Amino acid sequence: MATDSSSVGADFLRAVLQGAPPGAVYALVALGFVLTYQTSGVFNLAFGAQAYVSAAMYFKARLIWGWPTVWAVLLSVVVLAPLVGLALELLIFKHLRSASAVSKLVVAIGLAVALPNLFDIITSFKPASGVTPVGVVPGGADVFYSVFGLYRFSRNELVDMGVALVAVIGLGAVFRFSPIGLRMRAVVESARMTELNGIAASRVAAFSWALSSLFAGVAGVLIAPRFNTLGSSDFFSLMVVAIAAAAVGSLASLPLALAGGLGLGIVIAELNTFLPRWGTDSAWVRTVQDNLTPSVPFLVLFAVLALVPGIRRAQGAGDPLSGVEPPPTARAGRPDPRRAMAMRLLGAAVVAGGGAVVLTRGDQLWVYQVTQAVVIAIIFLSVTVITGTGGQISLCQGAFAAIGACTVYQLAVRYDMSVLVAMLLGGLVAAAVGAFLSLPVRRLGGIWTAIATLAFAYFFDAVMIKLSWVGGGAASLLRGTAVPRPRLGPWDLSHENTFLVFAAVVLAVVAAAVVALRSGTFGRSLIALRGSEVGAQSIGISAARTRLTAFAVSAFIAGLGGGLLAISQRDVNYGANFTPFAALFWTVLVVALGSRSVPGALIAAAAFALFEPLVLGGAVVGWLTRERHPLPSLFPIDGKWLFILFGLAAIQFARHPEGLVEYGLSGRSRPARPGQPAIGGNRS
Amino acid sequence: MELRGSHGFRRPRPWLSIAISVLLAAALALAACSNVSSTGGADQPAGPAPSNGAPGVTAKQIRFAAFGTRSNNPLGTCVLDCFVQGVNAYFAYRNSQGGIFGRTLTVSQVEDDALLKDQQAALRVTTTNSTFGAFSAAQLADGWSTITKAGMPLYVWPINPASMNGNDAVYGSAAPVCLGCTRRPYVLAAREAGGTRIATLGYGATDNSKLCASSAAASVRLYGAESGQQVVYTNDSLAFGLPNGIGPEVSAMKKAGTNMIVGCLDLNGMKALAQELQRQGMGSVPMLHLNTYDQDFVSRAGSLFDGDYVAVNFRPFEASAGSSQLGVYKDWMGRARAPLTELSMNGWISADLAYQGIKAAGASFTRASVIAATNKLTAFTGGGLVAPIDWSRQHEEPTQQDPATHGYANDCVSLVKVVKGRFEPVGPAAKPFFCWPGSTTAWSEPRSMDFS
Amino acid sequence: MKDVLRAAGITKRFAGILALDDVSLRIGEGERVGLIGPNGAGKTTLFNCLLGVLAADGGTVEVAGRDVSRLRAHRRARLGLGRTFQRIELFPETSVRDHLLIAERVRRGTGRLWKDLLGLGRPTAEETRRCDEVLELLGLVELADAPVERLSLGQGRLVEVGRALMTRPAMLLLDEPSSGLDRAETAALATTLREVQREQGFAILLVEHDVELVTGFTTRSYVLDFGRLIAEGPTGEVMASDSVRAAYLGTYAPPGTTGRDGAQAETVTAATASVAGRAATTGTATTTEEETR
Repeated sequence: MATDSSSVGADFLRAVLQGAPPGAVYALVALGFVLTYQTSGVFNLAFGAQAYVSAAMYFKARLIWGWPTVWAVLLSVVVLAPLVGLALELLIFKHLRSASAVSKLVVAIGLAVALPNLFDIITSFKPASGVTPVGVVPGGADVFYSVFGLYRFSRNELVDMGVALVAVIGLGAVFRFSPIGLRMRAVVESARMTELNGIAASRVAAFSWALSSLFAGVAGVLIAPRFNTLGSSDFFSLMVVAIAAAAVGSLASLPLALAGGLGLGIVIAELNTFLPRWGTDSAWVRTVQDNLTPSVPFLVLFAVLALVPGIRRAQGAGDPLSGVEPPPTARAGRPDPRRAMAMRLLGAAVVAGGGAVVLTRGDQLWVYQVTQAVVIAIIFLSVTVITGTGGQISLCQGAFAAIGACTVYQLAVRYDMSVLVAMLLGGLVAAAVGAFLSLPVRRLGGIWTAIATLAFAYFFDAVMIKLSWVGGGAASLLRGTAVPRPRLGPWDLSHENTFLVFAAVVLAVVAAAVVALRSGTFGRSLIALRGSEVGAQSIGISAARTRLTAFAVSAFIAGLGGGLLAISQRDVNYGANFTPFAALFWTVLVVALGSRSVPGALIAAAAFALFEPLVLGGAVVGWLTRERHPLPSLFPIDGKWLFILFGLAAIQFARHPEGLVEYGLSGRSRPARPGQPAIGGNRS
Repeated sequence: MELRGSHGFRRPRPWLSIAISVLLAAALALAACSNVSSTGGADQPAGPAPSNGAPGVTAKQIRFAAFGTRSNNPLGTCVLDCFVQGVNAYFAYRNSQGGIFGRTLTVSQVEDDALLKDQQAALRVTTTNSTFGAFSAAQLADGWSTITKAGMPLYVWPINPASMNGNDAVYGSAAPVCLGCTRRPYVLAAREAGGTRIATLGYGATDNSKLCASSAAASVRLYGAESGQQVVYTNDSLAFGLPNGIGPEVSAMKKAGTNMIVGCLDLNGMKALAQELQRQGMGSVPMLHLNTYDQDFVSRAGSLFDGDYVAVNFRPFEASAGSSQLGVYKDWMGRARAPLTELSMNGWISADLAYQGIKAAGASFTRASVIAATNKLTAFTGGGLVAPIDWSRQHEEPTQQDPATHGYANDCVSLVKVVKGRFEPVGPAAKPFFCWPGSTTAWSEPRSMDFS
Repeated sequence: MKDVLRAAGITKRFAGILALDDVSLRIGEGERVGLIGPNGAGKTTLFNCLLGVLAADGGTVEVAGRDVSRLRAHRRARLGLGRTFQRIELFPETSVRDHLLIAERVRRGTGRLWKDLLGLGRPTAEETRRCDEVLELLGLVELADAPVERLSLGQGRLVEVGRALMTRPAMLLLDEPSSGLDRAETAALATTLREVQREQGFAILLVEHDVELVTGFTTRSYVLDFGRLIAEGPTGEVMASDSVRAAYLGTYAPPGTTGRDGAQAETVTAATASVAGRAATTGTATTTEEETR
């Protein structure tokens, strides 16, 4: 081994050591993720939220209440974490055991949004600046141990790495040598059959959830000291990186997840060590240097998706015994046409009446809020296409919308193009990106679409938006990302009411297009594909091509809406509008209220922009009681309830994919057959 | 076998849809009757109408709104509330002297923008229209132009120069600065710290931080001949929050022989950096902090930051008050039992500008006349708390080529040093500002100044 | 007689286990051929390889003389391979008529995104007419507008047949059409199929357990066991042969026990293997459930 501490060899080795601690953190989360997936069959995007809950509980107990470490760990990890897991299993997943992987994924997304907010409200937890999370060993961040004289590990880091290693060995042993290990796997494969074999599936599943949630708690408490302030969105993005590590082992292998996590940490450290030595003469090299490091996890994930055929086996494994059961019944019957027409007329009346009231008598704030609802509704219609009609979960609609918004900004500001033309071009650019993005996943489908789109959203957030030809770079800081309001013939769209009418017209056109597409060849092919991929193929429908078109159409609508949003706010406002975590809520909201229909998207948009001021803010109660500030002890209600309510509402997606609006209004009841999946597709 | 038993169908429930329709219609009718307004009819200023008729001005009061970031702040820092504490302390102080033109000053409306809804918060202020002017301290300032379009003067925490630039009714406790320009204070701080081989660090994720790191490097290079300093390492693309640690970067700095670091990071990032420096045996290398003027935070870190320097954009709490308003600020913050914070000081200074503007506009002041009068204040110092701002020409950012037209007459900075976990002023306590002529970017020895 | 389908040397492995070993078969125009064999013999795997749902590891498939070995399932479907499924694969929330109409549209290949946008994507009179013909043929007229959730399993299978017929197949591959049906339903289905086949003249490959159905319906049969063809010939003779009986009764022990559990999960017994097999690939368990018990 090189002893000269400045030689390339020593640098390489030092970078390996430096990459190991963050790698261990990725590995911890990746292990937990694989553990949950393997023992519960749920692609648990709420894992980060579960880890956050334990980390925040530990923080609160240890630093705010001043408890000793042991008691704080007992409460947050040993008690709270498994309780959360048991609650999830008993209240939710128990009833979804044979649901498709995709519908369970949607449930997990809803939980990812609802859980942290619920915890924050119950415990009135807030991030505290300057009070940094501490580890579980005294002096964890300050006591160091030298390794080969090259680098020193802190106590916290040694604990992280130790636990990751012990977890791989311990969990491996559980699966290998204990009967419960195999039973857990068996329940995932086929709950029905394990019960035929005399194993109480529900008890095994409860144990699985308690175990994996316990691990989420362990991971949360251990990784918290790497963050300076605790925020659930940080845990979520860390989880997205960790998914890349887990994907290295096809979401199946614990040792490979560990290797993937460590590998990611080390590769990033090596890049940070050696990349800067290239010299920084050409702008091109600079761009690569700046952006390669943050892109690594996403490049890894895309490489896995594109290159590893093995993941196809891991995709949405169905219950082998489901073949002997009748196929899942989704929505049965169709709404009574007369009532449907009545509802349509009523809806139109409400929209027209509400619009007239807002336009004639609404003040600036209401015009603004309604305008936001109208513009967001356009973006939400993109979810109607990809998720409602196509049955695919896309988590990068925010990135598509941002592409539209940035295109408008670039073309209008830099090239002085008409913003309305730029808006259409923005949609087209987004469509091209969407089509390209669908290439690696269009044949995989299912949860892999969700993973890949989530990775793309974070890639866009970490890399793309900072490029000067996308988000404006330094120029945007100095000048802002301002977007002008155009004139359209005799109408000056800088007038707020005129703009609202214009946005409503665009919305109407897009909604009509969505309806037309759905009843045309494309829509019916997509619905067929959603219902049964092999069935659709058997009559000559190309899954790949149809999905590519679906992605392109959906991205076009999102891009168009994003452009219009930028025009309406006169600014791109990326950070306020389009971040991946914010856009995750879009999907949750549309899915909860109704991704199948145009009214579902419209009501979701109204909920997004108006629920808080109308309901939580107390405006409705204010109107009813004719008080300016009704019930000051109650209103305004914390805005976090928006996330909790609709996050939890998204849970019903697994059984009622048509959403709350349609389900509630149609008065349709369904046979109480627990665990029947209701989303079509991906049963392969 | 039936795929689905006929017993599975229940009769539809028309009553549900009817009930919902009725509810919706009722809500709609109510909405129509009650003149949709976000506040359900703003209460008009009571008492005899003031002679000037300005909104928010009653016979006894001049009312202000404040909006900005309270909830959902990911950094967990106290923003809006601390800013308003400073404003309130200042108003309490003025009101104790009888207010202005026979009226007291008050913050009557506070709106939380919940981080992402600044525009809505601003619109709540303008549509209520029961206040004369507004204060704002926001992480993402999207709503400022909404306020000024409504004709209201706006006094802000000036961290978003882009939102201030060119808007002549937005006033900060500092004027908009050129983030990308070279600045002499970096060189001064490095010299004070005894640094000759300088490293600069910034996040790639926030343009603010990225530009700071590159401009610090450019400054050191520009004045290298005079100062004998050189840039040995610069990295303006760190990942925000340092999720991968900062080991390789510190190794590279160590290898380059760094003996002084300019850290354009948030205070938590600086802590992570300091810990990594300690780990790699560079604990004694001093740093210049730009966002760490927080005594509690520094004290909690023990000796971690000892020997470091912190740049402050106003007269530091540790400096002697002299004839400045520093003593008054401390006194009235103490009476309100509120902690001394960077944000409250910014609020206090903003409130002083609001007061001075009204005073300059005269007894029959209106929003427009206050804006016009404030823009004639050519040497506003908040009572010796900040270097003089000329609001007649400092609504726009200066540029590297032309620092004079829109820049400060005196380009100043205050520095404090961390000694045993406490801040100590650098330079003469009575003259806490180091200043250079703002008309040029050339190097000269800084003068110690006092603007009381 | 021209061959509609010719397969030669089809081989398929799953994780090193030979599921299909050099299987060759041919089916002539209008012929009705059976494919039989015990559970786990590889019938469904062969089916999927012929249809392109699975990519074979070796061998060629020709449809009407054209090599389709490299084509994906939907391309083979367009070239004339229609099919039904053992486990019904209909499109939920879609009416019977819509199933047929979309198949007709895809066959015609006239769907365009811009036509959809302009509202020109609705079914044409010609399409509706052909759809009605097939509904008539299958006796589904009264159910035309029912969502498929309301259908019985037998009716659902007829819809699958109808959907396949809309593609004007040169050959129809039926995957255990009797599964889930009682005797009477099976008989009715067979009758309808025979009538339709007589009228339209396509070839049929029938994978089936129900010996009675195979015997009555097909003229020629292939027998598959452990991934290999062990017999072929006129159905009656094949059924009478000793080796076939042995395979069905399970007394026939093949040389070299590769284990039938390695084959694609096909029915109940194979599912256990699938659990164990997947657990093994995770590296977290080496014992199979079989061994544990």
